[in-house]
Amino acid sequence: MTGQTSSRTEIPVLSVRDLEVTFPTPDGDVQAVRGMGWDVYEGEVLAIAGESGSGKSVSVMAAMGLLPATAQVKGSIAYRGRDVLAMSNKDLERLRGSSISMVFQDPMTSLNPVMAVGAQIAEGVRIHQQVNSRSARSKAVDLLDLVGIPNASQRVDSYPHELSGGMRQRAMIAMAIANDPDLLIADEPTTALDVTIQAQVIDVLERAREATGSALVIITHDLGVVARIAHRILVMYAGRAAETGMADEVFERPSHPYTAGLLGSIPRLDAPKGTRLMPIDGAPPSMLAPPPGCAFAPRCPRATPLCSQEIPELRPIGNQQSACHHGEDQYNEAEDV
Amino acid sequence: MADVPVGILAGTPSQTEARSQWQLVLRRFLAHRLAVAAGVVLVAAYLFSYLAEPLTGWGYKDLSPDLSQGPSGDHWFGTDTIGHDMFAQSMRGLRVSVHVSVVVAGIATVLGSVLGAVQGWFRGRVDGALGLLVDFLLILPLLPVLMVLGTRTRASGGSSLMFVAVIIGLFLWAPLARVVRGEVFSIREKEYIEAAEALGASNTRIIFRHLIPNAMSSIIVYATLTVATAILLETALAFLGFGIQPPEVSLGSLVDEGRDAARTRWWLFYLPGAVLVVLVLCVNFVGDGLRDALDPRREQRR
Repeated sequence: MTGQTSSRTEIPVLSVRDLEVTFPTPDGDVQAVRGMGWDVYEGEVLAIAGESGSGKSVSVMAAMGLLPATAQVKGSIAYRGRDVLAMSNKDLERLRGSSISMVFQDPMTSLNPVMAVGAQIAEGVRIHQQVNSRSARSKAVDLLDLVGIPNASQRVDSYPHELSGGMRQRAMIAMAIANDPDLLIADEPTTALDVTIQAQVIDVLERAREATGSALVIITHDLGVVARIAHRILVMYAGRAAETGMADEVFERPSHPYTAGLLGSIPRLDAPKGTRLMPIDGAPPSMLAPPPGCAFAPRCPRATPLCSQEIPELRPIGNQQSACHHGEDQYNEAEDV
Repeated sequence: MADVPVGILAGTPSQTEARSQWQLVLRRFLAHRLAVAAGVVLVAAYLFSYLAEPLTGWGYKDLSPDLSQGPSGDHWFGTDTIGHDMFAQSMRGLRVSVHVSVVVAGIATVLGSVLGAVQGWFRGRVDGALGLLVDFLLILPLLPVLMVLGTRTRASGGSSLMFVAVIIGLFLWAPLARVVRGEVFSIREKEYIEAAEALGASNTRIIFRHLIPNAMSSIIVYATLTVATAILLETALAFLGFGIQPPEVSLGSLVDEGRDAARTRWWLFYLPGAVLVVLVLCVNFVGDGLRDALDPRREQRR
């Protein structure tokens, strides 16, 4: 807990404020992100959790300036105090891959099929560092070694199709940390992998983060992943933050019914015997026309008339922050259990 | 430790080091027997064309006293009405056709892939402007345009052969640009392109390192087609009296000249024709092999 309070005095590596992202479509504007903010501090692991379409990926893509040109972005995204949204293309290119780098969801499609993995890692090194091809190559071997690829000096010449999914994801991680980034963003890094190797890849990510001392933002819908490595968690729903706080505290005492619902819908070893899994009824709202009040209200067991009229703002409850009109009730109920 | 042969330990790292991408490509190409055979024939035929004169004693400009004779030990491919040795002429024609088509295909392929990739990557106005140029080149009746340009080269003298080749090349890139543009539209949406962007790769790097290599199989197939097209175009020009001028010969001009004699003096038509067919076939087979070799996904299990 001391780490949490002391970190608040530092300047965050990345700071997102009042972010709104809208995609115009023939059917109307899709409001993918509807006003949210988060900070990530040096050496910290932040998990952004939420279901498909909640705006998790879009908010980090915006941070890297990788949104499609049609996207309309409002708010501010600051990397060490510099406004990313105002950067020129040249500055963005310099930022990407060296200061902020990214691990993508599907290692099957995120590696160039006609380049050897070593060459792709070396390419990343040579974009940002003045080194010759020989030392870039040996750097690639070292990186492959670091992420736990056996026989790295031979694997460096393998093509992506010659590697398994887990190996490819390790190679992606090696690429991402090639230039000692300050911030590593992992967009659903384990979703496309077999359950048996998900844990390994998470460990590799954690090791990679330690080796570079970078901050890690991990986007996931898998709360098991969050529980494994995240320090802090941000739960998103329908383009807004539902709840944020220290991961273990949020798991212990969720202060938003949505978080409680998510936790109730996954099996837990520490749950009392005979506990039934509780699915969340209904489906996420259409982002073309989100409900006027709390977006979760139509599915929420605690919903009152107030919820469908007024959008709840994020406010502190205990050590956490919750965007729920009934956050205290939820928080206190969790204590009773 | 002492039991391990030193050579093995010392050799291992350097062998790994040496296994570069191009060696892998070469290895895969060599596994493609037909392509290797075609490549050998192609290279051998090209080199042999230089040996024709010393071997037979006849140059392509020489006029022998033997007129209109069939193939014999002295004139392997026979002679024409004024006594040209057809073997010497065919070999000269082979060389000229290879030179012209390589220059044409080279220019067209480089221009077509780069401009097509630029169109597909930048889209918008760049795509629109280049697209107009491509459309213009595609609707242009190529033969008349080349004839006009051919007349000008004849008037100015000079080395018209390469000039014609360059001109044909400058006109033939448009279809390839369109193919590559289409490919790039699909490749650009792939995650590895986004990953490359996330790595900080510049537009130039993405175009040359990621987009064009991934479109390589189409490009190579198209390049080989262009070689064939170039030979045929040059043939048509030669037939109409443009481009290559006597005494220079090409396979095209030989076939055209021998066409009327196909039924009476078959060797004037069929022998240069056979050389032409073999040449184009070999180019196509080599293209096939290259496509397989350059695309690691096509690697056959052995």
